[in-house]
Amino acid sequence: MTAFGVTFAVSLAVLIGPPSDKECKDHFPRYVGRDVCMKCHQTGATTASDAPHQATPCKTEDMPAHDRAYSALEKSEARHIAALSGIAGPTTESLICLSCHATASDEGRRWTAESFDITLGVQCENCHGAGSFHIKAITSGLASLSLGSVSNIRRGDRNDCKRCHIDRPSHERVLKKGFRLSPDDSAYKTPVNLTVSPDGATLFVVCERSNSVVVIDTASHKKTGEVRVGARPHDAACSPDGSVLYVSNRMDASVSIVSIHSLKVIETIAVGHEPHAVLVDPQSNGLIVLNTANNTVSLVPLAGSDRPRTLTAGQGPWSATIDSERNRTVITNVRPNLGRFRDPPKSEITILDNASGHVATRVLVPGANMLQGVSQIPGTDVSVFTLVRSKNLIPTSRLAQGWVITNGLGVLWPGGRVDQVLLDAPARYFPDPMDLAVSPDGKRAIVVSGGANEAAIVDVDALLELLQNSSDRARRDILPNHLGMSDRFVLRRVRVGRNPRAVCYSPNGEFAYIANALDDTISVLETTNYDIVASIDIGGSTSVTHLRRGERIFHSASKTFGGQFSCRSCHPDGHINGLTFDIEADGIGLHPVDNRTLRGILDTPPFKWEGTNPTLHRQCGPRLAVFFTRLDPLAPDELDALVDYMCTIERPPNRFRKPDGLTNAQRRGKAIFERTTLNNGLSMQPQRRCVTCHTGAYMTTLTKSAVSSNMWFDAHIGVDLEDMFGTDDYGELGNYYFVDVGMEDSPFDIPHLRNIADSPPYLHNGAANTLEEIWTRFNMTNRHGATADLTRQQLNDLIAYLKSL
Amino acid sequence: MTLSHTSSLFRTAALMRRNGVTGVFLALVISVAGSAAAQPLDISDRHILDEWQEHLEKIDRPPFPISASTVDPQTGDTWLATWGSGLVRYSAGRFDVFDQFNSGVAGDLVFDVAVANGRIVAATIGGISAFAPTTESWSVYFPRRQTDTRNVWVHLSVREGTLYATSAIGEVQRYEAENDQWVDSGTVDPPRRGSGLLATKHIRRPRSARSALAIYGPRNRTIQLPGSPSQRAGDPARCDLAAVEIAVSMFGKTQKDRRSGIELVKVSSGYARYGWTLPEDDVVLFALNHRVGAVVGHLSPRLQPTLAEVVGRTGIGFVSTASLDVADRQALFTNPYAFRCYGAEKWGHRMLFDDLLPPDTPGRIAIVRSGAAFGDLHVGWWRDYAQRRGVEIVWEGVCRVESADIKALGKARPDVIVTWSDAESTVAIVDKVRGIGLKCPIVVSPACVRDDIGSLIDAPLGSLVSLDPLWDARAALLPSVEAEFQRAYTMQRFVATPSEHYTLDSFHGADHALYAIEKAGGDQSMVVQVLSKMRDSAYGEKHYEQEHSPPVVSIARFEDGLWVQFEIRAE
Repeated sequence: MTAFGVTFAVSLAVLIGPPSDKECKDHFPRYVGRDVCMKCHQTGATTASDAPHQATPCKTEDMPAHDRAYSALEKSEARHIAALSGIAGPTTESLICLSCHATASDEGRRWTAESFDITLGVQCENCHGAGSFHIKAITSGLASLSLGSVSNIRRGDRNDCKRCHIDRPSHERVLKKGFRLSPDDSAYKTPVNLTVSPDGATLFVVCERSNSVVVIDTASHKKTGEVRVGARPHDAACSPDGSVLYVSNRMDASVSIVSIHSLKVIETIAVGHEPHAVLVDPQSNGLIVLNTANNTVSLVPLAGSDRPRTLTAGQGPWSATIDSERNRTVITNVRPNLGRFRDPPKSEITILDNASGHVATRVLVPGANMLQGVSQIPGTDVSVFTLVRSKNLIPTSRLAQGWVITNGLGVLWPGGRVDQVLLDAPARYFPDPMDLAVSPDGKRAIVVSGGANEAAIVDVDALLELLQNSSDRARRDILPNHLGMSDRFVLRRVRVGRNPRAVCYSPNGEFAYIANALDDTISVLETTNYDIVASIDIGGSTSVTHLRRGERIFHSASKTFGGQFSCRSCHPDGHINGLTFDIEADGIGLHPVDNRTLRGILDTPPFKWEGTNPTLHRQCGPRLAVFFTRLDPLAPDELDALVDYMCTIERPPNRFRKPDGLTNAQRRGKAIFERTTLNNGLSMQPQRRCVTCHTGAYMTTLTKSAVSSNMWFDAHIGVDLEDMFGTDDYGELGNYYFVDVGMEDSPFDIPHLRNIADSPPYLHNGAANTLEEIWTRFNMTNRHGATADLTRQQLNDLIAYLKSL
Repeated sequence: MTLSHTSSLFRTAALMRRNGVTGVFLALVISVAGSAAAQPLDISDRHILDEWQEHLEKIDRPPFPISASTVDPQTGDTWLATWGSGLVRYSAGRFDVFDQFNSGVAGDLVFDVAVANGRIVAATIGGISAFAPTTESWSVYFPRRQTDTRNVWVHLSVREGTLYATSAIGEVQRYEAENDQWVDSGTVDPPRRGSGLLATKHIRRPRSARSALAIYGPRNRTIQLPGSPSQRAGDPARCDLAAVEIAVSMFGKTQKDRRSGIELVKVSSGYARYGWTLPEDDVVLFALNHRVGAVVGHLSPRLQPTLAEVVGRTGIGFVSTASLDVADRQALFTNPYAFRCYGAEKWGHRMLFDDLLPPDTPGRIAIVRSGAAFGDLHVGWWRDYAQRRGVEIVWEGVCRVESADIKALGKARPDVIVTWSDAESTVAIVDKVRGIGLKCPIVVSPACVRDDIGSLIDAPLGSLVSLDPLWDARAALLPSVEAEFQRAYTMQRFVATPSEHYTLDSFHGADHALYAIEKAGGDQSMVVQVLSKMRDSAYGEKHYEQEHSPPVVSIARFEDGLWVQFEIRAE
């Protein structure tokens, strides 16, 4: 294509719309690299004769730091910065690091020429844009067309420097204040799940921190081996013959197949993202893997030529149990299904028909979220699961006696009826019920409380009897919220290790094993009186580092008011529980705010949706004291530890990002994201451009902005019930009303956009269930980016790009 | 796929006739492909239909009908194409709605759905959408803009893994997955004129729809009786208002039609929604939201053919506006539920005739006389003009047609039937005509429409066409209204469209102006102020470019056979 052709095509495309997938390759310029630029624009050339093609010699001063930017990522300090930034994996592969330490990282290598070398750091095209069209125009003798927006060569603008040259708390902590990870930080095991071999002789302990599975001999209670698997393993399952162990790797989106005989990984298979539970279905000879990030279930055949299937689960499928007699699988989901604004949460139990490989039933559990551990009661078709009842529509100022969060059990009966009971008692709560197991005889169940470091021993018959003898109304309205019922079915509470996360019985039911995540031990309980008979050390570091201490505080309810919940209660895996909460002090239900992820948040101040907390210390200190800890705030050293741990919560790899960079649709979306003109060619005001507010490593300018997203219930707006009946005229949730009546637009924190696809719902109050709704329902004023002129395809492309960030 | 199978056979025969061997091959592919596409909801799936309606009721949503469905063999999920609620996944009792607000689907009116190449493909009013569950991404093919009137893809077929799409006018495209592109695969016979067969599915009117009439119009507009201030201000857009006036005159005084008991629902809110929301989508949503049996359309005339077409297919009666210079009028007449109103002056008759039977095309009309003098006068005019045009009059008789006559009329197979009588006689005639299977448009007396619009809307009468029944009353007002308008506002006249913007949005511009005038109460300086205020409002934001220029709006009217635009500019 000639330069004129290129120019014409680009100009035309601007006017008539986005290029098709086929045209995409030629539509966008590629990065050619510094050396190609410098062939003509050699530094130091003083006359035109020094530079071929009458090119303007580059007058920018030497910036050796830019040249070294990429290699800086290989320095030892980079590892510590990355850890504080929640970056998993090598820094040289992190989009966040590369966005300031390299060029063309966002587009990826698919959009670079062969001459481009990413290791040369911050290159000319980082500020001037990709140069391939410019080169084509020059070599075609059409130099006059080589500059300007058409050829994508921008004039240098020192304002661009601010995208990267800003204060970053992570860098400051490491480079100026000397923060370093302790060697012990990587010496922990953090057992999060366990499973027993079919013969009961071996216990396999899945260790999240050490990326390994520890093997325990159940007779001697000794560690006999360890096998390294993928990143952040979460669950394991044995094959029926006991020869193979399947381990889900949360950060790798994979399952490791381990030979138990040789204790080696013999194969790794790809599944969905953030896989949690993994099960072996002996009847279909297949794996069932719950992909928590994708909200799907993978059915992976272990033999034959069938291809894996992917089924839709609820939101955040977490744990599962197989009912062999009925050939079905019962799956819990950790987040409630997305619903309407201010509707109480409803979470889903997904039931698979293993024979057909399809979802058979979906049962909704009203008022509940964080459905985690699940187990079948042997000999019955009744399942029991753990749950949290978050009263997220009630102001958190009423934080007493279970008015905000209670913890309990759900019972799933044949036919789909669900009962809920609480494990909490007044002044003795059972925060974070994370797992349960039912004894082989079906008489007892053990439930572990990650926040209270306890295990509750449940009399299963008493529990079922209580429910069966209660009226329908009691089962619907009273028992789910009754704090005085747990002593009817809880036989005792046993103190175990720190942050128990998983429990299982031995096949003969004589012992139970509990994985204590934060002291690297396994508690062994005999099952007559349920006393602890042993505590198995699985080999983790015995010292308590600064970060480990913070991790314990994060997962403990001991510091919150009444010990009702922990930080983890709303942030499983450091992420979200999918709810909006009314955390403000007004106490009357105004200003609900969407829960935000904690993954990699250190460099994204200010905090809180209103952007009123400049640091995490402020957010987790005084603010936490007001709302959650009340009269017993964290001590300064505890606060330091908590904040630093929170910073290290890892952000998983972006699941929409391909290894070679942006897809065609994502590349088109990036052009929309960065556009400066509307479809009709008119210039956009800077404040209406996406890239004005969402830029830099985290796609935020780290400030606040008013984009007319006010709605009913926002604190400073108030609610006019009479107006609410006229919502047709005022847009969704009155989004337009405030502009119509001339009320002042209130600014909110500009959120970062990294892994934004994993954090629905959206907007400050969680009113938008999908990214699309941000613009289709809540941008009536066109102030949250000028998007009203976008075509359907353009909006789709924009969304595709946002998901890739 | 109740109709698709039949239509596939029909297409096969047509292609064999037309294209020889290649055509035979293509026709066979399409014919067989039709049977492998989205499966109809059979008896065993009745529970899905019931559950869907129960679900909608539970969440307080309108009774969106289901137009097609298919089962994804990999997951066992059923995908539903709905009218008004986009694409819906039914999975073990859970409905996941993918509409144009919460997803990347191109439109909420979905004609057909198919599973192909691991993707869920939907033929929507906004184009063909494909959803890839594994990557959670959406693609749009053949995106349809608001001004497109023909390019509606209505049918999807999958044959041996290959996806075919068929448009409402018979174009066929084959999808090549390896290149992600569509290949033109010829055409099948377009629907016959007057058959109403514009798509392969037929939508039943929602069971819960009440016998009510709603006015669909722009935001903040209140329609009033002729002579009222808003009516005067709205005169330049009188063509739009004509049908509204019919409705208002029918129901305005009592809010209830005397004979049918039909209720009038006056609704002033309208389509102030996201930029690319297609009016067809919005009208259906509007009608379903208000659970009405009929809608008076009040939109840009260029949208009317497809609007009438798609709205008509919901089973919801649709009263369209007066004749304007639209690209394709034929679609309107093939809609069995659409009424269309013309001015009753002489050119109204002629325009109606030319619309029904375009010049330079052969046509056949039948005339059913009432016997009354006034009726024969009008019918006589049709007879004269038919002779001048060379259009064959294949049958002529009186109202009280006997069975033998009716049989003769049926054998004559006219393209248009003209009758002129009171409502009772007209209904009787139309009943008989439809009873023998004739589906062609029937021109009826405006008096008939005026007196008994309720019966006509509720009766399954097929396409009826009428002249504007209120023309005489309104015509008397015209000179004074126009003079008032000319006196009050500086109007710069020019013909045709000055810019792309105005071409697309002229009626939005008209809305701006009318709104401003209404708010200003006739004070020109106030108009400017109102317009200025509107620039800062959400409504003004839709026309972002106005922020960079003096407040200018344009309005349009039809005059002497041409579109004339007026620009109101702030001084």
